[in-house]
Amino acid sequence: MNKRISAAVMAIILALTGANFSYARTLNDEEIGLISQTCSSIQLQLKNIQKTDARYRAKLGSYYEMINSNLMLNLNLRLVKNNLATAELSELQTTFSNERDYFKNAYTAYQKELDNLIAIDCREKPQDFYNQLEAVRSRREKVNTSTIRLRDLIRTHREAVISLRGRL
Amino acid sequence: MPDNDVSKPAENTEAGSPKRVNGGRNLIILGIAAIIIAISTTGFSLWIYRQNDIYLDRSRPGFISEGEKNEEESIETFSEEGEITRSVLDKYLEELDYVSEKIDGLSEAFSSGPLDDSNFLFDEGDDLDPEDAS
Repeated sequence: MNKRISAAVMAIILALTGANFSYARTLNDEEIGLISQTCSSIQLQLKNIQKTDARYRAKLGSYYEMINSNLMLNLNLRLVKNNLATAELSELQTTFSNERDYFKNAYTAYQKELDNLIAIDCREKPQDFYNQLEAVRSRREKVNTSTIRLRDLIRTHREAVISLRGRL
Repeated sequence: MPDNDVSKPAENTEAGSPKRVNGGRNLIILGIAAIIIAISTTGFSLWIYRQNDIYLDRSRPGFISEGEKNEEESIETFSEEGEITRSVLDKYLEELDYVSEKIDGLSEAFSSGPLDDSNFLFDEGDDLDPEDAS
């Protein structure tokens, strides 16, 4: 009975904290050797990835901002003034804005994990490095999923505008 | 006549015995205390800086060179004033498609590829170009 309660409490805590566990496999001796030997190349590679990511983040961030502020928001305001407002377009704008915030936060969390990964001495601690690499992958996946959701929302918004156009 | 000789050390006769006030020593203590306070507050500020997200602003000066920075791109802002007609919505869709295409062009920006095992578990003889990973 106590075990069940403990399990339930743990499940609730994990759900509330949004804990993100990633399980890294244990490396074999050959893999540990490879990481240790190529540590400097790996770190250079990670720094390049970090810079490329920063450029992508800046570009995507500005595009999302354009769509949200310059287009979606103003279209909805104009529709309201013309008594043509639709719940679908308003909700899409809110969802898009929320998802954009999620993207920003997911990217920040990903960059923090990537910073931690770069800080690990892979020559001395290859297994720790690999464990952290798994955590970074998991965070990156969340950023990627968010970009997919944002693209889907733009497509849905476009279809809703075309549908509105057809009704005019 | 009152004794106004400032070079004479002050005396504390409250406890019954004279006490010399060493100005030089106090100045050194004050200096050391000021340095300790300055170092600790700077350290605390840097700690706050690291704890927050601001250091992750990779667009800050120095992280990405000017040449690499995102070129300023903008679109015509859709006006919130005016009537809604088919041609107005056509113009709107044009702007939307323009930005949407740019976003689609970055669909692989955060794909899993650059962090694949193949980019980390390679022989030195493979000569992997780090640029390839990004």
